[in-house]
Amino acid sequence: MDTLRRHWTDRSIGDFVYRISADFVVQLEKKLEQAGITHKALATALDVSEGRVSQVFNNPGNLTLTSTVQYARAAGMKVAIVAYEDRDPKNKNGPVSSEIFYTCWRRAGSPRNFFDLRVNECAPRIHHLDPYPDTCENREFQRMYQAWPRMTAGTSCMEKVN
Amino acid sequence: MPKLTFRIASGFSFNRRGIGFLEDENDEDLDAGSVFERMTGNAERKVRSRIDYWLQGGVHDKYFHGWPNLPLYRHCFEFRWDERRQAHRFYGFLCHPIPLSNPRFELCVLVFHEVKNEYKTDFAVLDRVNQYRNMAATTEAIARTYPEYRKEGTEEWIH
Repeated sequence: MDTLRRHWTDRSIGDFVYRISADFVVQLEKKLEQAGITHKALATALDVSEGRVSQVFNNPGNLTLTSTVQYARAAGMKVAIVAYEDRDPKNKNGPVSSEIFYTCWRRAGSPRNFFDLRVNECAPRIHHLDPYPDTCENREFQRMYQAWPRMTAGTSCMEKVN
Repeated sequence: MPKLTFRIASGFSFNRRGIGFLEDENDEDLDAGSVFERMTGNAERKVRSRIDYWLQGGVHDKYFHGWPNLPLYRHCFEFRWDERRQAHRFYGFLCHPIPLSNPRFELCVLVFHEVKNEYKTDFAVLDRVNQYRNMAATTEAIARTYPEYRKEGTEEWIH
């Protein structure tokens, strides 16, 4: 391997797929632990053997998109496929963990649609507070977020700002 | 005195954290690096994914952890994975090898590979890790890659 100049996930598509599947499994494992769901219960919900669940957790490289969604839904979660540019076109740094995207989405107030995003675009200073849970900054963020006028379809950002 | 070398693990991107191996060509006991290099297929991918997760600042005790509450072993660290129904471990220690210009940078120096059948930690391995961690030759080896690791002209640790 070209030492340190090339990330290991750049060796093959299989390596890249394994890494992002492993990231997904971390999220799933944490959710199961948090919700107190055992592998056995997950296997029952998926109508597969417990061994199959362990196999997927141990070697996530063979996960298909369909089984990814099945496992996530059985754990009460959803899945998004996110394509992104990270100013690393040669993949020297490897992929960004899916958990990081999820955390950012939650910190942004878990926007459900594009209208929510437009509200946020109008309030860069609110986002600048970088809200962490249970901090005074977060409480201030929530207060300002709730006070910010809600957008409706057809209104522009500048109208609300003015 | 053992002739120790430190080698950066290839294929990773370092930002806030880095990882490498302490090796001695005359001492097969320091086998983390050689075991890692021999790994292939999904086992290698699994370990690399877990190392990546740690490098990115992730927290998941099932994959890796230290012993921050045990003063004697607070610098020790392990990566864990299962392979063919056996529990594998890489043991090493954490340090801050760029204390002057980048004090936040954390390096994991892996030393030993173990295959174990018990869930409990074998503290004898951690004692061996500490033994190597405290050697001047180890400091010297890491300082060849990270010159700030010791005070100039001394063997004093500055992290």
